[in-house]
Amino acid sequence: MTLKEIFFYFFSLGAVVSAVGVIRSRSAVYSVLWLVLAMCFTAGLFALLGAFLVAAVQVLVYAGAILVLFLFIVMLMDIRQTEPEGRSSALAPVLPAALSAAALALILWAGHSVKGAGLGASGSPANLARLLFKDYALPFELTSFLLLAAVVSIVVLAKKDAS
Amino acid sequence: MIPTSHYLAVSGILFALGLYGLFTRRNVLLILLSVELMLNAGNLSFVAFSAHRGNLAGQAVVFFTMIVAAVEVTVGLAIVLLLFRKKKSSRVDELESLKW
Repeated sequence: MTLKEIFFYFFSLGAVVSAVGVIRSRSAVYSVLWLVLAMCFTAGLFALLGAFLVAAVQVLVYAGAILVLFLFIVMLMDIRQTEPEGRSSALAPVLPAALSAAALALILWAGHSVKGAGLGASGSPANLARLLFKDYALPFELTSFLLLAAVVSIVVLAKKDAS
Repeated sequence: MIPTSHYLAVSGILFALGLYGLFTRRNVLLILLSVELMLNAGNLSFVAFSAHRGNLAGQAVVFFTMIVAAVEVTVGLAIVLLLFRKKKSSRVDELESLKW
C-alpha cells in the first residue's frame, strides 16, 4: 500500500463519516461543523487528484467563507430545539433511503465502467489561470453578473424586512 | 495508482448521503446543508474525470459551481432568516403558506 493509497482511504473515510455526521446530528451548529470537516477531507481528495488550486480554494472559500456564513445565520436564529423527534413515523425514512440507495447504485454502476487511473492533470494556479482567463473568459466574467444579482437581491430582501 | 472509479464511488456515497439528508431533515438550514453536500459530491466527480481525461476543463467547472453555490447560499440564507423572523420557525412542514 503506497502513501497515496493510505491518504486516499483516510480522506474518503473521513469525508463519508463527516457526511453522516452532517445528516445525523441533532443540532444545526454541529451539522455545519461536520460539513466544514467534510469539505476539508474533500479538499484532500482534490489535492490527491492533482487539483491543487481547487483544493486550496475549497478550504479558503467553501469551508472558510460560505460555511462560516452558515454558522453566523445558525447563531443568529438561535434555535434551541430544532427538530423535536416523535412526529415522524418509523416508516418515514424508508422511501428517502430507497431513493438514495437507487441513486448510489446508479452512480456506482456508471462509475464501474471507468477503467484505470487516467492521465492525471496538474491543476497548478498557472495552468488553471490560463484556462479561466483565456478559454473561459466570457463565462468567468458573466459569473460577476450572478454575484451582482445576488447582492441586489439581498439588499431588496433586507429592505423589505425593515419597512 | 488509485483507479478513477474509486473516486467516483466516494462521490456517489457523498451524493446519496446528501440526498437522504435532503429528504429526511425538516429544518430549512439542514436542507440547504444537504444541498451543499451534494454539490460537493458533484465537484469531486468533476475533478476525478478531469484527472482521468487529463483535461483541466473539469477543474474550471468546479470554480463555477463554487460561485453558484455561494450565490445560492447567500440568497437562500437571507430568505430563511426572513422566514424565521416572521414565522419563528425554520421547519419546512410549518411553512405551508406562500403568503402571509
